[in-house]
Amino acid sequence: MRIRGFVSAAVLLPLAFAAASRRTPAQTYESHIEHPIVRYRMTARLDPDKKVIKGHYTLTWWNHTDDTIPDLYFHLYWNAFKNEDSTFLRESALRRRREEEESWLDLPGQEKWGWVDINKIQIAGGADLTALGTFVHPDDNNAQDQTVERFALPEPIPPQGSIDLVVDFTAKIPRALARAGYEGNYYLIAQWFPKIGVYEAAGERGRAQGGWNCHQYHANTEFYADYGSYDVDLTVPSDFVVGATGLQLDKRANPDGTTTYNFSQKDVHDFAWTASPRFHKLTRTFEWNKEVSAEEIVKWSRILELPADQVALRNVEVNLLLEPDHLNVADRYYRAIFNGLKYFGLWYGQYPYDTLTVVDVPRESKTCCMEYPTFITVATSFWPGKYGASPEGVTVHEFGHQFWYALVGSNEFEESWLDEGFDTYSTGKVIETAYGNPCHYERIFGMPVLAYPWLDVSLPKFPFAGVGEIGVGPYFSCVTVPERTSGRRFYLSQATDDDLVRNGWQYLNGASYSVNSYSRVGLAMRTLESYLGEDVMARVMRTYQTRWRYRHPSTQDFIDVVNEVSGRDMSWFFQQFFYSSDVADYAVTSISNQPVLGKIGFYDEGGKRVYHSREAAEEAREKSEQKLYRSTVIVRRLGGVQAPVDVVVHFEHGSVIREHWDGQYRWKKFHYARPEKVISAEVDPGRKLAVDANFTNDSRIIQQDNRGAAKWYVRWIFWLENLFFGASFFS
Amino acid sequence: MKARTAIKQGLALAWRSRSVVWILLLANLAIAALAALPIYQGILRFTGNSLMSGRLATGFSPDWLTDFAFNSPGSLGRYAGVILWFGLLAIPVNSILAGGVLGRFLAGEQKYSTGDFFRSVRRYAWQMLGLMVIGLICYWGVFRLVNQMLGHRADLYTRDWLSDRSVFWVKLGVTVLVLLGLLFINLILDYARVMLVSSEGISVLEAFLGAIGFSLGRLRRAVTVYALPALGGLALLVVYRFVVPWSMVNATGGAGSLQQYREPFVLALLFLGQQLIMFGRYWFRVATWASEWNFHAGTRPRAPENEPAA
Repeated sequence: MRIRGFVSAAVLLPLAFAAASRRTPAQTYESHIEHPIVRYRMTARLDPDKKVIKGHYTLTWWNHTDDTIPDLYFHLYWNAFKNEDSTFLRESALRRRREEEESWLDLPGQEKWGWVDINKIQIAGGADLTALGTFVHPDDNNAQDQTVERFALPEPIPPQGSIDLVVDFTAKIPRALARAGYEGNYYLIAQWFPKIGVYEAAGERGRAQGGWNCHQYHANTEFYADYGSYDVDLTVPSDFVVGATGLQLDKRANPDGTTTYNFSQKDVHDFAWTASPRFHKLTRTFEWNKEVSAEEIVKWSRILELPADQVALRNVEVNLLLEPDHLNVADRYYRAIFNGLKYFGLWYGQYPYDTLTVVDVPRESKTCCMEYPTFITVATSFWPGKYGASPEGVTVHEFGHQFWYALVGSNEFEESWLDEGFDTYSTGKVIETAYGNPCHYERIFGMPVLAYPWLDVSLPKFPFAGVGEIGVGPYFSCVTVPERTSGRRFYLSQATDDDLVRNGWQYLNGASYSVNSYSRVGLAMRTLESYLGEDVMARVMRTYQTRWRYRHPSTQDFIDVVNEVSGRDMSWFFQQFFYSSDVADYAVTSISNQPVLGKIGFYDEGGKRVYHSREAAEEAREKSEQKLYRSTVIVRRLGGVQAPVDVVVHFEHGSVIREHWDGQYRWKKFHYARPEKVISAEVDPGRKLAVDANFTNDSRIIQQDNRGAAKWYVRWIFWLENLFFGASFFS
Repeated sequence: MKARTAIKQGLALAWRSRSVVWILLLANLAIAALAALPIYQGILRFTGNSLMSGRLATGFSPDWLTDFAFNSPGSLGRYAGVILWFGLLAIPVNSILAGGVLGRFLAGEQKYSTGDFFRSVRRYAWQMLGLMVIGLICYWGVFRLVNQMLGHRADLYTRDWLSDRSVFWVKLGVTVLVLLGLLFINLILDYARVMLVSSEGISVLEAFLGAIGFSLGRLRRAVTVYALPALGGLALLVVYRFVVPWSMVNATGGAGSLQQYREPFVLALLFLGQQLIMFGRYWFRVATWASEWNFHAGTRPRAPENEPAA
């Protein structure tokens, strides 16, 4: 396989590069979906004075199943912001958005509220369905929630049949909260129109029978929709700069001082847009043959066991809508995006669309860090530190969602880990490849400061209100954290609260949602990578991505790909790390070395009972040139997770023995009778278990070593002397 | 008196007063060593029998800190508490010790033993503590008025601004005002201490009010005398930042008879170097007080001379 990969790379590589140079960046996208499920043709007009969007669309919806469907379900997401009794706002009070929600609720006036009304919904050339709509609450029976509406149909939709709908709607734009809304004259418009749910056939994502999958808007969850095409006319005041999902195909000025933009995109499952007169619009092209070397194509062709043309990328036009304060950060944004396009493309398959729009959101707009097809929101400060990972971290992460959300359309309501977790893992890989391990703590005078990483102290906002917006450390130097294990501290804080695979709104709290959607998955995927090997893992991820593009996979679908590509049954792994809330903790708890003295006591020798005294045995041992020790190393499984581990035992004079333990029972003893003592032992020396709860107890030494404690004691003394010197300022 | 003359004389006086600098250094070193002791014990208990100890000796390990935080629940919070209490202790301790330092200036060219130092400490202790209380109230006032009230107003005022750069400058302005307010209170307290010791029979409140009048009356010179020697102390930290060879400190000793002594030796050198820096910082603090002492002595209004006899 590998030889074939090399040959094909050599033959096809020049062709791939030649093809790249001929491509134009615009309008080259060809649909990969034989029969799209949704086709939206939409017009929308923004009224910035009333904060209202008037919209109209025709929707062609195809029943791709063998079911006869009697009704339609629509998401009306913005009704989450209609009153305090929506499921979203009720849950927000208890969950991760509490602080954000509280500041939003404190805002005066009526303008902050948002909603979306279906003014009219009609079958094209047929019945008016408007009066047939009822709000339903499939998740929590909250009768006040109006984020899902069901329309009974006068005639059911037959298997493989389709329906054309004409919809008029009015969307009152909320003051920005949770991904969308307005701040001043800035608008981020997402999840804004009445959006049809997903009808899943029996067998899809493990369903026993077909049905609508249309969840209410929850504080923790994101979205789920079917693939299709969007063709949207947006009319906004002419001084606004506009960006949206897809390619801008047209722009025409209207006599009333507005301009209408047309955006169009196939093979996507959502449409979002932004408008503001503040934006500076920059456009640069990702020219893949300048970003990717021939050696890299050959390398990944070999690793992925694919011909070079399948590893080749394509040019992409990248629009960056920048806040005026952030023009100096443009290059960093572009470098991050280009790194994302390069590495995600090489590893998981080329980014297929012609364009990507990146929105740098203004401060406090609460719209940051979101993903929509071909459209992402990111944020930075006007003066990002040289050593910090902003804006790179968030930019690569949000771009990564083009692969784990936009292209592979997992259900973010029910299996958030499939997009957020995969993206956490992938982002970490890109960051460490392109930038090295990121900075996490500041460091001044050799100490990680501001004591925060060391001590559980809440840093007061004051007295450093002014500079509180910008961390000090990344301008000078920093303490790097291995990207592989950077999520451990957060994960361990909530490690046992929930199983990883769970509906997003059913986690214990917002922190548990975050742990199980992001950091724990990142660690578990790194652990899986260690067990499979990096190359096999790369092939697993590539296969999963390409197989499930433009479709809706489930957790089991990923497990099936892992087992198929690796040729191993890794079900045990998922049972331990994904369907359980146990922690992994292996430890070397004891090392003992007993000198072997020989015979002591009575022995039957030559038909006689012979006595051997301890003194004689000790004397004999003293005279002996080869002194033996009977050594025992005890390794224990302190956590609930059971996983195979290696154990390395070090002896005096440098000899080493490597053992393997299946890790099943609670402990394992390793016995040795050798002329050298055991001086140290370490379980899982390669740190395969990135999720391990305690790396420190993974190893044990026979002689206490106080060097680490002493060095840090001396540093702490000096640091505290200076701290108290500062405190005595107040004396 | 010119500020330059006061500082020059102050530096000379501080040079002659090195013994009191040692006392300040040792007292604060003891407090810091005690405050850091639980951290040392915690690290040793958690890590001493692990290979991680060797890794920790070569630098900071975020993985180790995660292990420690998760597997020693509450420890980091306890350390923070211990540091907070020792920090609070450092305030009155240094306040009282200031009496001994200023007593040294009062003694002039006379011999000033350690016993004399502590006698001065005892003599001025309550007055220094009283001044500290007044100072803390004033500091609290600055925090309350400028930092919290003005800061809150700035927060509200800028809440809807979309430009982070503009917000930064507004908030930085508040921070600068806070720092200026704190420094001014500190300046007043410094001169009040000087007046307490140099003027017999003066009350704490009189000294404080007198220091305000004295400082405002010659603000530029008073600030110069206060600030320049103090900046010398800060400069020492910059020296430390660039001089310490961290790669050598973080290196582990190799095998061999002499190599095993290398690590403790380097650590001892680091400790001595650090204490040298701290000695320098305290010396500059004493130099600041000495400059203020001289400035005050040389600027006090003289008693009117008697009319010549007819």
